[in-house]
Amino acid sequence: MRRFVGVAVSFFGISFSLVGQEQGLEQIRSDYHEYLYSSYEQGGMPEADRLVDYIVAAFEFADSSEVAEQSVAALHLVMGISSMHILTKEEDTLVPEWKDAVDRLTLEYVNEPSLAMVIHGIDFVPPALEAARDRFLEVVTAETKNSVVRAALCLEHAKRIMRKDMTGGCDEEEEAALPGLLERLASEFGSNSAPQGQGDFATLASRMKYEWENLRVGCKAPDLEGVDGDGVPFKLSDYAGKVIFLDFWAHW
Amino acid sequence: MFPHERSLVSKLKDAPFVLLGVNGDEDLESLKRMNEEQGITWRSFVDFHASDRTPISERWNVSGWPTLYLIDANGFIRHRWLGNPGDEVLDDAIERLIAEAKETSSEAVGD
Repeated sequence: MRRFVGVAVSFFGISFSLVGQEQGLEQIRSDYHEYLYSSYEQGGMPEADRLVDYIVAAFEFADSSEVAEQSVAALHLVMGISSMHILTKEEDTLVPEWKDAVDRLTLEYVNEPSLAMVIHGIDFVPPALEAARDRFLEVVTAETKNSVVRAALCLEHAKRIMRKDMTGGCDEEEEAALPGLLERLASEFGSNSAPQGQGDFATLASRMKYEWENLRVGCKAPDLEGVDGDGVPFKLSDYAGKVIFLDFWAHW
Repeated sequence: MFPHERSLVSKLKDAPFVLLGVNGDEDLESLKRMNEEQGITWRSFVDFHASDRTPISERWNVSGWPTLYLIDANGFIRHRWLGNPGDEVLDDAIERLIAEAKETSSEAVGD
């Protein structure tokens, strides 16, 4: 079934309807997920040979689609499949496929707004892909003229610096660049919506600014007040003079 | 994480140390049930969304759970982790800060 859809899409090419194309990509995606779950259920790991089939189908779809957004989504799927495999197998089998998808994105789609989703989705990649990821971001930064893409680049750049700072690895240059990035997020892209329902970029930027100015290692911890599970009010400062281990937790 | 936290709390009950939670569950029942089931004796700020306040986790821009902060006896943030760094790293950092706190307080007595 999957093969048939793949062939149909490339065969009918231009005349194929948008609805049909969406179904084509969704079909590849759902076949892939089905295979993934069935291999986990059988206690095994997905095989690279099988994954390559889905990757080939997604590449074919990306080439034949007349809708840029759909092509980007297909290439994004290739990146997802290969990085998942690299991560779980801890081997480099599908690294070329990931790089190939990224190359196509940089060649053809730097001004496509949906590239923002790809940029938000690669904050964590397996170590084998980090250098290629960084190069991809550099090229897109240099070439894109689209404001949605630039907003995504700006946010992810800021988040990367803050995450490095959290683990003690942020250098002076990055430290100096951060306030400007947050300022840009708020002023240039403030009304754009942030990913994952985090409100708009202005709100997100102000939260990140608060964290950067008040919550880094070496900062005096801001006081907190609230109530405990029994409704009894208390404050962080009630425990002044003690070492405080503050744990943000939830049952999930 | 809970078993280790339980052992920390009992091991350090006489030390200048406190474990406090910020609970991100969306209702009070989950918190109470977890406290009961997991033998959680330490206090947690209730932190779900309510009309009269912004959750602490939102103000502190927490992006994943658990997020952990270690604050020294003088109120300064000394460590923070997104995700559990492992028992050894955690214990080591806590022990250092407790030793530091004891040193400072004995110096103060000496004065």
